[in-house]
Amino acid sequence: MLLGEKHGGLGLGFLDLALLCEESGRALLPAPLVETAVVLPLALDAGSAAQCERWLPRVATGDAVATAALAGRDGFPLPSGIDVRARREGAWFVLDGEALVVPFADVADVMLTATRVDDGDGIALFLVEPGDAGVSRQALPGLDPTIRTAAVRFGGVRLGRDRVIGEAGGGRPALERALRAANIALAFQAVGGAGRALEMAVEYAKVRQQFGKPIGSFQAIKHKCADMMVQYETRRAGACYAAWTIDAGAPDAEVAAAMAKAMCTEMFPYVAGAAIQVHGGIGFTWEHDLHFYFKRAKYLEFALGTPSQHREVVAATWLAKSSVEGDHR
Amino acid sequence: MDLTFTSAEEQFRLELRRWLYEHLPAGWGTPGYQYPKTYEEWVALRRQWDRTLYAGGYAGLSWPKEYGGRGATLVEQVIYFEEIARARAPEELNRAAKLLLGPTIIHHGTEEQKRRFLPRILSADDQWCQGFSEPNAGSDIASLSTRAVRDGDTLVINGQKVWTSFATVADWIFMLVRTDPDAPKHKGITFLLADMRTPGITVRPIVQMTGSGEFCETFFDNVRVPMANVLGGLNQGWQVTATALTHERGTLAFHRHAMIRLEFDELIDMAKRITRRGRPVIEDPLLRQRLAQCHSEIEMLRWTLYSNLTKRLRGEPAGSEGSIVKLYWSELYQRIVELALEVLGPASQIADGALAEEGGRWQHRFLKSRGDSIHSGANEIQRNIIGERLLGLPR
Ligand SMILES: Cc1cc2nc3c(=O)[nH]c(=O)nc-3n(C[C@H](O)[C@H](O)[C@H](O)COP(=O)(O)OP(=O)(O)OC[C@H]3O[C@@H](n4cnc5c(N)ncnc54)[C@H](O)[C@@H]3O)c2cc1C
Repeated sequence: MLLGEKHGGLGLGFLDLALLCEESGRALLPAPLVETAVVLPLALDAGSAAQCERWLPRVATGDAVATAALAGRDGFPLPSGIDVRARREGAWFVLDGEALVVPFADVADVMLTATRVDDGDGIALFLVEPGDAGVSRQALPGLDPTIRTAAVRFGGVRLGRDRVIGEAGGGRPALERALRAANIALAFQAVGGAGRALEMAVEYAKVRQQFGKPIGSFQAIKHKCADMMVQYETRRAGACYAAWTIDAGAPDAEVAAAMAKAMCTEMFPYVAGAAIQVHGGIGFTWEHDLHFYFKRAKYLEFALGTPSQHREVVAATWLAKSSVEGDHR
Repeated sequence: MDLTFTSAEEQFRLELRRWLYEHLPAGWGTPGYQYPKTYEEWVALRRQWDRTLYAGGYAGLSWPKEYGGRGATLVEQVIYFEEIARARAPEELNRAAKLLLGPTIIHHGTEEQKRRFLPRILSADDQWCQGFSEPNAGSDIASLSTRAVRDGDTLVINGQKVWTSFATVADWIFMLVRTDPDAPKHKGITFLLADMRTPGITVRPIVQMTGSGEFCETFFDNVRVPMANVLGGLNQGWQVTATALTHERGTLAFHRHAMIRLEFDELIDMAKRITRRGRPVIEDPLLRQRLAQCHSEIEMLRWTLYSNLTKRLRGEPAGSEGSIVKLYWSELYQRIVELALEVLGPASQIADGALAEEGGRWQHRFLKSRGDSIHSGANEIQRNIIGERLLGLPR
């Protein structure tokens, strides 16, 4: 959708894509949509014509699946969570290190990999392919059984110049752009999932009878659902605003994205957990779908960093700035 | 609030501690111990543990001596729960029967019923399950519709129970049935004991969100149970249940507290061990605050329990304050296991396999904790009880 028509895309705006992510969250889509439709295309904005030609048309038709190996043990790529190093050896780069909880690494045709270059802080983004010698994957049985993740290890992976996106060492702007959009996309998936969980809770509260009344008539349940809705609506609005900042190129896009990621992915576990509570015993079973929402919520909460890590971005950028400029955006 | 133990009580604690050390499987509770992998193996282990407790004289602690119990004091019961938690002993499989059913039989049963059922509960020869909840009667248990119709010396049961934990491995079920459909709903209920091998009973396991299979649906199709298995008289089931439920919320909370304390101490160790950006997680100022908060709350829970205990030792009856305790620990525990996932960071997403921290037990606890605000009276019901019975607010 984000891709230009030249590469077989629709050339739509980010908000359109965000709504698609919301739907995928509602449906608990078990696929690396954010990595394939957001992270890779945005990173390739800085890529060569040949790289775009190789990947984008296939991504647009759905023939190629992408994933992203961005963070190591810290879980939060920037500023210091990248655990893969790329060393220059003549015309080659040699990659060593590890990325954790990489979604669908087992089916990905290409893995956008963030590295630190040589001994410095410079960043290089690589297009790693599963057949590259030295790449190994270890499946990680997850808390969310619908997302297959892996630990990906890079043991002396030799790659040519043609695999670097842009300049080695100068990859930070491209990574930041991709991460910003990815955070918003994940936020929308959380919003979508929460919307569905809230609907399920409300539908059930209307039909489930105890003490001769629908349980939704008890204020304990009614107020719980109302609280869920307040959280859901406010977070969704925040996510929409964040998506708009991308399309508009607004200066506060980074803060908006961090806020959206923190607030939406914290709201989803709360809403899914409350929805289970509204369902009573049946909510605690595997047979009812709610537990999948609850587990997905926890996946999204930790993907690309925890709410607390994202709030730190909000604190670092917005708090510092607002005191000087008095800008309330 | 008196927080000192007498020397006899300390003696009891030491003996029990030594006994546990000698009778738990070798290496139990240490990091390398190979715990069972499957549900069936766990069940077998827990049942065996019940037998060991019985042989050691630690089954039926609170029961009077004449029924094979130990006649232990309240304080000894508390010590027992603290110590088995401290030793990480397996959870008793027959706990519902020992804590809930046994005392109810002692209170309401005939001599014949006492002789027949009580010893086999303690020896773990009879494993029991609890058949109260139905598809349409959960919080509103009094509206249950499983029917039992009298036919001479037997009752013929038709209907369905649900969320019956451990029904697949149970020998007996204690259950509530409707025997008088015309009476007001609380007055037509009977407390009944049924042999799970009776023709007409079928059990279907239901997998829980944790992936384990304790839950069951239990179906009754013309199941014939002798009248002699009615506990406390026909249509008297509601009063009988009321006794059963006060037992459920008694000393068991001490075990919960001790378990929560133990797991929390594990969490602190983990927060010291796991590093993020090169520093132990425990140095993160935010997590530190929350860990300190949880520690304080566990202490508050403990003092609440001791304060309730003191009241009972003074002879004040156990009232609805159990609702405060249940509400408080279940929500506190949910916060603790959520915090544990944050301490784990990205590793929170790895629930099994070689890279899982501590074998994935935190993820399991995290999922399991969601059941704690639902079972034994959902938290909304506990809030109603606190509001209405403790605060006297209008219904
Ligand atoms: C882990 C686990 C083990 C269990 N083991 C057993 C067992 O061995 N045997 C057995 O018989 N049962 C067992 N149960 C069932 C348990 O007792 C019921 O789930 C519980 O009583 C709630 O009933 P329900 O599931 O029908 O929910 P419902 O009663 O339908 O409740 C749904 C929601 O409505 C709320 N609600 C209901 N009435 C009111 C009200 N008046 N005011 C405000 N809110 C209200 C509830 O709090 C809940 O949030 C177990 C449950 C769990 C989770």
